Amino acid sequence: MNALEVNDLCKAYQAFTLDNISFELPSGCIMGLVGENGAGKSTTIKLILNMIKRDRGTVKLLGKDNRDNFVDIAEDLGVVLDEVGFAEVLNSVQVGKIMSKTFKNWNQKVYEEYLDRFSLPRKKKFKNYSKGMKMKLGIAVALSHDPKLLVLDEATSGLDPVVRDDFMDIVTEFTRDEGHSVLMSSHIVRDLEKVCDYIAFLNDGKLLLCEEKDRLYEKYCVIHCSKETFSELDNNAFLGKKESPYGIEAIADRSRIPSSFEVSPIDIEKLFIFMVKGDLE
Amino acid sequence: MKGLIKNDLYVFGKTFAWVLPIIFVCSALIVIFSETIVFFSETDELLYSFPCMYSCVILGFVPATLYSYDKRSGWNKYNTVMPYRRRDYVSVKYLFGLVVTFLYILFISCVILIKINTSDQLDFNDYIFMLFIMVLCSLAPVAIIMPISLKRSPQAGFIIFGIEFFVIVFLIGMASGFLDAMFEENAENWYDGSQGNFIAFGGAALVSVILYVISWFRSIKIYEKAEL
Repeated sequence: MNALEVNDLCKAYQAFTLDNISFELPSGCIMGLVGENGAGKSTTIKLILNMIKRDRGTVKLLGKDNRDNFVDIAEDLGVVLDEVGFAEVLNSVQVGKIMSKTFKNWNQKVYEEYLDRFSLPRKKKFKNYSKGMKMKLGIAVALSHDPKLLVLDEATSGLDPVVRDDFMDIVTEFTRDEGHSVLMSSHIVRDLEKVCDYIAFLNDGKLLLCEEKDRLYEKYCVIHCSKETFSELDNNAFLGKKESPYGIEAIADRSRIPSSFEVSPIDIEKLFIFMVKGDLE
Repeated sequence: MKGLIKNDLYVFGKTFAWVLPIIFVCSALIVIFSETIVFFSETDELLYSFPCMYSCVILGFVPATLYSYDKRSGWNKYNTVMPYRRRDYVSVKYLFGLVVTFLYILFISCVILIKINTSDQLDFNDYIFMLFIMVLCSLAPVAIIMPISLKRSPQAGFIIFGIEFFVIVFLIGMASGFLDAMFEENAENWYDGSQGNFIAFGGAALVSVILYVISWFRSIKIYEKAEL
């Protein structure tokens, strides 16, 4: 079963259009949504969460259309948006009390364990929290009602590297249960690369690719060569290239490069940058 | 819905904590020490009923103020990804407004009724008249401000209410003046002579109740269509 199915999703604004986005997230997997600012990541997540109305397409969350019975679906969703929106006057204890009246499966013990794990104070008001602390509280809330699908929109922004690493461990732990899945967007591609099973690239409202991470490693490679050597190779083999005084660095389809050619493995960040910016002219 | 109510209770408790006792105690003291609460009295006692009206208007701002706090903190967006319907969110604000208003009117009613029973300074007609004014002044702000706040912004709601408030006062004044002229000739008591006021304010109070209900449903429609 798929935790998330998005088909032909469209949303048009005056200056931006999200165009025919389709992808699937199988249960038990983590998908990373990668894109520049304004690429459409947050719009996609808002459409998935029914925060804005789609123009066309369908979204199925945990097997149900997200417009039907969202209240039931939301019981099984853990969401952390780019801004965690608790009232400024609340402290973490009061947030826990509100959430215990919100989610049927709320587990106060788990919540308090996360508060301890993230060293979050009990009595400090939310308005006096740092951005990182706010995110941690959002993450604690999202994980304390046994959700089946976690949706994280730039949830790691504002976190220091140590907590970010801890958070990535939590996400990995979460998906050990095959019924648990994660959709996360982040600017920090290296974080996504560490934990994601699937990677989706969004650029200018279009889905450039959505593939299993391991398949991307198998399919693509990086080559370094001179301009002369590059010109002898099949131009269709390349997704993008960068020229420098030392030669050419390019991302290529492994199957179209001669086996004798020396290649190095790609990383997801490089693949994304080359696909978006790599000049093949 | 319980979580939404709890959230509003916390926010209300923290942000209005110092306002409520002042409003309740001052209103009670003013009623206790006043000789009349007649709004259109020809004596200097006009001011005695004004604080109660003013308190009702302030309490009528509570739902939109709570919404503006939610908007600033992002709770209005965040709760949409939780198991709540948008109509629940809007309804909690309106219910909150009703409960706060009801508690205030109940409290002031008790103070006035005690005074009526223990002194001869006030009359039951004073109370009925005051009740009309309190219902009007507490429901009209919510009915006007909330749909505009949800569609545009709380600031826009407050500004438009400020403008409309003068129009409402002007219309009620015109109506009561016109009706007063009709009843004035047979007047024996002030309230006989102010039957126009009674009808105008009673009618306005009734209209404000109807407007409140319409505004509630309209706000739900607006919020269900809103893109957050």
